Amino acid sequence: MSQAAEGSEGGGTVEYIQHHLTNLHVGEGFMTWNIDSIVISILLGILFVTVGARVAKNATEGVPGGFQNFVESILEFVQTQVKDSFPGHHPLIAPMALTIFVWVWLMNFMDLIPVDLLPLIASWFGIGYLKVVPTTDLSVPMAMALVVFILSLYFNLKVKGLGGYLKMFLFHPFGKFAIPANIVMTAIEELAKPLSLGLRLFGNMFAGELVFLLIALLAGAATLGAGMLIWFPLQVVLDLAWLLFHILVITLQAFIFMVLTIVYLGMAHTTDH
Amino acid sequence: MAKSKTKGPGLLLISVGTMLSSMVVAGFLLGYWVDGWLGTPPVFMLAFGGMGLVGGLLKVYRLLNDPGMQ
Repeated sequence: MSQAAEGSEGGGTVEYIQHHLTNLHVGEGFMTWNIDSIVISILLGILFVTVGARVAKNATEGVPGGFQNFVESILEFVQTQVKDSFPGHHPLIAPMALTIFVWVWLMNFMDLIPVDLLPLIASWFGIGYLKVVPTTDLSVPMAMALVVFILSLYFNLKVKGLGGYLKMFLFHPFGKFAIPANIVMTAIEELAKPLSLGLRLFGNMFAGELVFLLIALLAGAATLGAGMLIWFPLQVVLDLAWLLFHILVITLQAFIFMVLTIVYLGMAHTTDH
Repeated sequence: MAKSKTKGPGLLLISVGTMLSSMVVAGFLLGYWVDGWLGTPPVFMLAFGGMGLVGGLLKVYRLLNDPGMQ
């Protein structure tokens, strides 16, 4: 990374952006482990489970308190979505939908923390790189999409049977006279589902993070010359505006990921495709 | 035909925007793998990419015409 930054013309700004978009990783190539994404997503998962368990433990049947009310409204919201979108019943779907929604939302939420705060704190402990939003790391959304893909494969095989699933590959969408084209087309279609699921989340969050970085650069360029400080009020206004707008984006992306997961699994779960 | 009474297929409309592009990408990827397997680049990459484009257009068209069909 450093070589690319030194060789480019943007100087400090390019280096700043590249530094923020580099994961703390070990290994190279295919076997790269992005430590920061793994640690932060696991920590957020633990947070979700602990808070959820605490709320469940303290739940009362009477008038619920503020936080319990909030959690119950999320639960009801997810339950309604599952009932609306998933035909039949499967004990796995609703808990998974809730996990996806809350976990993805929490990971997206890391985007709203000031972009320099956590990397700065990490640098005090000698950690050079820290990318705080796990969903801006392509591996995380794609891994989740892969799990959804495998689950949909499992449901397809379980509900339609191997024969039914192969029949879908052979005779869909052009009928029985174009079997080779059908196989390729259905394979593309099936592959496109997890791809679009993962890429959509990654793209939206990555772009959001990049906009935050660019806004941060407005007055951040003051390190080059104090004259740049005149941009500071503009930076505050832009950052606040993008922050408020981004709350909608992160919620919408978490919601879309959840809903499409339910819909894809629902499609795999119906026999009359 | 989706005979279920769920709103699910309608919610697929959310993904129409990325459906087209991801079908093309999926086609290219599949073609890339087949090419690597058979050693024939770039024949299948282009062919499957084209098929992904056509399939994506078809899928989006059908989805927009009647969301319940998918």
